[in-house]
Amino acid sequence: MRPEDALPPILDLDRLVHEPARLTILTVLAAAEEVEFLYLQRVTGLNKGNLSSHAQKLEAGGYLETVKAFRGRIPATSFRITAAGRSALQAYRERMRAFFGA
Amino acid sequence: METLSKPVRDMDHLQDLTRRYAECSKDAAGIATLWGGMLFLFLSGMAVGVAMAFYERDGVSGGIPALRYFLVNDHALPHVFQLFFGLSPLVWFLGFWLVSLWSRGQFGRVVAQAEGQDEARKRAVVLGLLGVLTLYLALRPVLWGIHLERWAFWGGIAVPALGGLLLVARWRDLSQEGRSILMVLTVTGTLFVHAGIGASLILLVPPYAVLSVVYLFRGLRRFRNYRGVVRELERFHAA
Repeated sequence: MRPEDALPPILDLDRLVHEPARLTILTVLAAAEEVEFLYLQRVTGLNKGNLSSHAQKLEAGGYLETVKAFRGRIPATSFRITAAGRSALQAYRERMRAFFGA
Repeated sequence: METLSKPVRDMDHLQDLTRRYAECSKDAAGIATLWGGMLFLFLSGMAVGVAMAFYERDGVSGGIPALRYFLVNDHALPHVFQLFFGLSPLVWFLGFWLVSLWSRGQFGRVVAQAEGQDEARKRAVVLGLLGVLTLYLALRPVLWGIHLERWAFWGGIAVPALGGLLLVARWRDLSQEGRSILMVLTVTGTLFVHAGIGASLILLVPPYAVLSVVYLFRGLRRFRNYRGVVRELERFHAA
């Protein structure tokens, strides 16, 4: 594949998913029904502020939903991937596989 | 292309780790299963102690009379023991809940992907059985003309109802072992409170002892798996 032929598929990538932290978040969420904030924080290595910011962007894009609950007396936030988020992630993976021949 | 395909492989690996974490973090990372094993061990010991106290009090001679005594004795347990056996599902659940707070504080809670039809059917069967048991115990005095103390009547209804509620509330956070611990404690607790069992409670010792060994072993195995997955997740993050 010539580099100029590869450009259109790359430029078409969903930027909301392509960012590494958001990609990791969606990848984790796609493997479970519900994931707590702390788990995502430990896996991504992001601080609370950055993780919240990325989650808000994904939520605004309709890719995840937030679930508020309590762990004892401590508020615990969890996330769920939406159907739109799942198909966006799937489309992104297929495009990456096609591009890199993975 | 080998290095460029690495992110895709990493995504697969991360998803695999997350699924394994969701599975092995159930029962508060296996610690609640261990706690169940210890509780069964304690109840076995208590059953032997109480049954022997009955045996000595009634001055039964050895051999066949002793065997008959343990098999058919139907003097009710003192209320304090009935209450303890009746509350045993709640005692286990409180332990599970407290340890869950700790384990969730370590790496967070991950709920496994939506249960399949088999799992949903299993839950319906378990809850249906507890529902039928509760209904039967509520109707038993009317059906068979049995006179029960008020506390035994209401306690016999409350224990399976409470056990069912606890099961429903935390079904997804419990493994097969956790659910069976709660179920066995609920059913035996109900029998003790409602029917009142005396020296024959020693018959429970062998199954309780077997369950105790099984749960101790499985709890340790689950906790070891949990530690392994957490270490892998930490390595993944460090890489």
